[in-house]
Amino acid sequence: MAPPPKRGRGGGARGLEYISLDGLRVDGRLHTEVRKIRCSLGTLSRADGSAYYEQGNTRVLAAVYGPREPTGRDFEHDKAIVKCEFSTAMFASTARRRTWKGDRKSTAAAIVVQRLFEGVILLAEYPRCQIDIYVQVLQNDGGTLVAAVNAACLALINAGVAMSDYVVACSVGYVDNTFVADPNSLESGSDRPELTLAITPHSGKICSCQLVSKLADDASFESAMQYATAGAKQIFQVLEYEVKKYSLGLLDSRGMVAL
Amino acid sequence: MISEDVYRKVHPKEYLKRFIDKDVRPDGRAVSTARYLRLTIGSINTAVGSALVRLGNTTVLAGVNATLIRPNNANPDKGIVEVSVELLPTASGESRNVRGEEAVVLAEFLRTLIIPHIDVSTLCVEADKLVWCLSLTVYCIDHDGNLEDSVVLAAVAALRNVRLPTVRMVDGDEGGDIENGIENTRMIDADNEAEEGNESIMAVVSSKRTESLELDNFPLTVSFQLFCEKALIDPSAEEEVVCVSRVTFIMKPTGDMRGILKEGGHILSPKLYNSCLAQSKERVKEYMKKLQAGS
Repeated sequence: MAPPPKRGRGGGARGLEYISLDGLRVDGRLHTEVRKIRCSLGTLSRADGSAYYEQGNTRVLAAVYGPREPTGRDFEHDKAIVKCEFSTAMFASTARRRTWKGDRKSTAAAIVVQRLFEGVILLAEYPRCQIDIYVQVLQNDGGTLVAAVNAACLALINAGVAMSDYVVACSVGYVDNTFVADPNSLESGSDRPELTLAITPHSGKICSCQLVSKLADDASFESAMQYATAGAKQIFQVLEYEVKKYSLGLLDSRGMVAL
Repeated sequence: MISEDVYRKVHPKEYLKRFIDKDVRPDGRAVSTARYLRLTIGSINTAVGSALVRLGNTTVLAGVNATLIRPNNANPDKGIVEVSVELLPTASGESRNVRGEEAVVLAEFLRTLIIPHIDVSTLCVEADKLVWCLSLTVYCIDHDGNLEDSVVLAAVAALRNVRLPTVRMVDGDEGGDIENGIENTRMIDADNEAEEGNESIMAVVSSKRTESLELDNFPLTVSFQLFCEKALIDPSAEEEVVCVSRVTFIMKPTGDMRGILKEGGHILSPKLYNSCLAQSKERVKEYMKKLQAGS
């Protein structure tokens, strides 16, 4: 792990100090600390699996339909296909910029989520089927892709789709010469490097890793990865706890376990 | 002997009829009982106004965005209100075309109801220069019937929740000298298509949002489905598939009737009409209680 952050130079675009004298960030977190996570499974009635996921002020809803008959023409005779749609609510961020379904950013995020889960879902279990993952961002405070991946993972678990492991994502930003885990929208400006990492927590494998913009010369990629992995493990604890709680609740409602 | 689940799927109409004949509905409600309403106001803090409505499993989220724009030439002293409704894929597994059609119908329904009640001249900052453009977007997150009532209620609650920042116009030269206090964010008119000779407009927008929207006498709706000479208040998705005669009572917040909307289907007898009206009045009281508690 990198040395604790020194006092930053401050003077960002808004004249803000991202790290205070005490080493705390703008929202009072430590540099290794992820935002507060709240999530729940099975929030929607129509979908086969669904999850609501909140990471700080970023709020995301994921729904899974399937495994079901392919809606389109394409299918694979020996495995399932995964489709993903990602959209952002009009009022998700205060910026004027408008997003719509199928804009470049959403399409890129959708493809990341789709590829990621193609690697983890046991596709051969469901030949000639289609699994649809829909992600809706309700409020955006940075890290929507991270939230989308984690929410989609919960929704897939809720739908009972066979997967080899959880997938947990976490991002790392770089402000004031130090890495910060799970940056919010203030800390992840467009020109700053940000690493988004998705891992399978049990086997520790890397599912997806994206670095946008370039790291400063004095920042090592390895330590960024360490921050991201540590962050993902924090998030995984929450997800696992929530899944266990939900499953126990289900078992209890069927009288199969006494809580 | 076929099982209940199969009967429900194969003969949905007969299935429902057996229930309604005994004055009870498949989800255990009485014919005249609406589902429990949960209303959360202002839950999205990136929007200037928002509301989440849950009617049983039906979930609808409405949010309002505000942007400063140059008014259009025909109405230089009037703001603009845009209304749109989206049926998200999370709401139903239907294809995009089916969802799109349903959403368009809902949007048109909402637009005709809501737009006349917003005084667009209050959205004017300075005539000919700067007005507010409010865009109300309603997302149907989960569809378990009676989207109409939920959409209208969510829209009304979100609009009532709107708090706009105060705006002060400044001259172009003065713009540089503005005290850069924490409270003030300088903002240049985003509509900078800057035709020749058109000086850019500058305004100071406070970061505190205080000004609420005038929205009195807003509409509220109560919907019924007619089935077997009975009116089912607040129909669920399962009932909506079988029944084809929707009646929507458009009410004033005071509980008086403003209008009625009925698109064909079975005939509504005067007796049934009176009972529906009485139920609508009761339901509006419930809506108002929740609206006032939330704001």
